[in-house]
Amino acid sequence: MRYGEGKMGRASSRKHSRHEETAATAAPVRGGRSWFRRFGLQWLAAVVVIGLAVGLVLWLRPLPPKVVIPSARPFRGPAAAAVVITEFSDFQCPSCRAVEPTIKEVLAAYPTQVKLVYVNYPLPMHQFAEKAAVAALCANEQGKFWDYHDRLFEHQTEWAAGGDVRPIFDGYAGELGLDHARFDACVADGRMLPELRADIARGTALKIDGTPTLYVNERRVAVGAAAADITAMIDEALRAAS
Amino acid sequence: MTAIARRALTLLLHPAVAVAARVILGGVFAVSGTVKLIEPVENFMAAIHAYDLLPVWMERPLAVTLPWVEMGSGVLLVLGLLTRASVMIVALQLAVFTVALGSTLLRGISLEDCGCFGALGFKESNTVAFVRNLVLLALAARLGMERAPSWALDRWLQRPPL
Repeated sequence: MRYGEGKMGRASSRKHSRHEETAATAAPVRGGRSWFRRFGLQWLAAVVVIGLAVGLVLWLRPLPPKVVIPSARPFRGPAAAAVVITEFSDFQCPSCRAVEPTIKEVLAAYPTQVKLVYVNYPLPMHQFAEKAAVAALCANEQGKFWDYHDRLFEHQTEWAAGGDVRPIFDGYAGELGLDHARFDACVADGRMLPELRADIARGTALKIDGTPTLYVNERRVAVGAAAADITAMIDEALRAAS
Repeated sequence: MTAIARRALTLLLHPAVAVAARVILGGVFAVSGTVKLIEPVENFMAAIHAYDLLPVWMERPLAVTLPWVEMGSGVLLVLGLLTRASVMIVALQLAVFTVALGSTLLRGISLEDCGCFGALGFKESNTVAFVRNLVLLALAARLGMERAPSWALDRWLQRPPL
C-alpha cells in the first residue's frame, strides 16, 4: 500500500500492520527518506509542541528581579565587603531564629570579605512581627540595631507568646542603654513605617514566599541550606569577583 | 469468578482506559514540571536537598533540568506524540522518583513535602507520594502494553510504511 490512498487505506494499514512490516522489509530500503516519511511529521510536531510549551513557561515565569538593597539598611561586617548576604527575615519566625547560628558561623568564617544586610519581612501571620521590626528600626536610629536584633531573637519565645509587647520591647531598649524618650517617640509616631514598608515591598518584588530568605549577592540560597552550602556560594562569588 | 476476572481484564484492556491513563499520567508530569519551572529554582533545590541522596553540587543542575524534562514528556504524553518514547521517559522518571521516595522511607527521613508539585498548594508527605507513584507506575505499565495508542496525535501523523 502506498501513502496517499486516503483514510481508508491508512485505517486498513493498521489492521494488517504485520503483513506490511514484512512487505516493507522486503522492499528496497530507501534510507532516511522513508524514515522521515514514517516518523518525520511526529518529530516535527513534537518539536513544535515542546517549543510552544517552553514559550508558555517562559511567558509565565517571572523574570528574576535583581536584589537591590539600598546602603542605608542595617548591616554587619565591613561596609565595602566583596560579597553581600541579604537576609529577609521576620523577628517572630522560629526558622529565622534557628538560622541565626548558621549565619553567625558563616560571617565568622569571612570577617573581611562578607557583610550581612538585614531586610525586614514581617509575615502577616505573625501578630507582633511588625511591631518588633519597628522597635528594631528605632534601635537602629540610635545605632543599636544588632544588639536589639539579637535580643529579639534570643527572647523570641517570651514576647511572641502573646499579651502586650510594648513594655517588653521598652524593657529591651532600657537594658541596651537606649535613650528611652527617643525610642518611645519613634515607636509611637510611626516614623519608621515608611522604611518598613519599603523593606516589605523589596521582598514582595522578589517574590519571597517565606522567611528567612537569604541571598548571596544575587543568588538565592536554598531553604534549609547548611553553613557549608552558603560558604560554597560565597567562595564561588569571591572567585567570580576576583 | 473467572467470568468476572475476564470481564475486568477486557475492561482494563479497553482503549479508553489507556487514553485516560495517558492523560492522567501526562497531566501529572506536565503540571508538576510547569509548576516547578515558574517558581524559583531554589525551592526545588531545597526539595532535592531534603532527600539527602545527591552531592550538593548536583542539586542545582538537576533542579534546573529535571522540570523541563518532566514538563516536556508530560505534554507529549497527553497529546500522544512520540507516545512510546514519552511513556518510557515518564516511566523511567517515575521509577527513579519512587526509588528515591522509598529510600527516604527506609532511612526514616520524614518529608513534610515531597517537593513533587512545587508550591502548588498541596504538600504530600513521602508516604503518600510513594503510594501515589505506585498507582502511576501501574498506569505506565498499562500504557506500555499499548502498541497503537488511540486518540493520539501519533495516529494522525504517522504515515503508513511505503
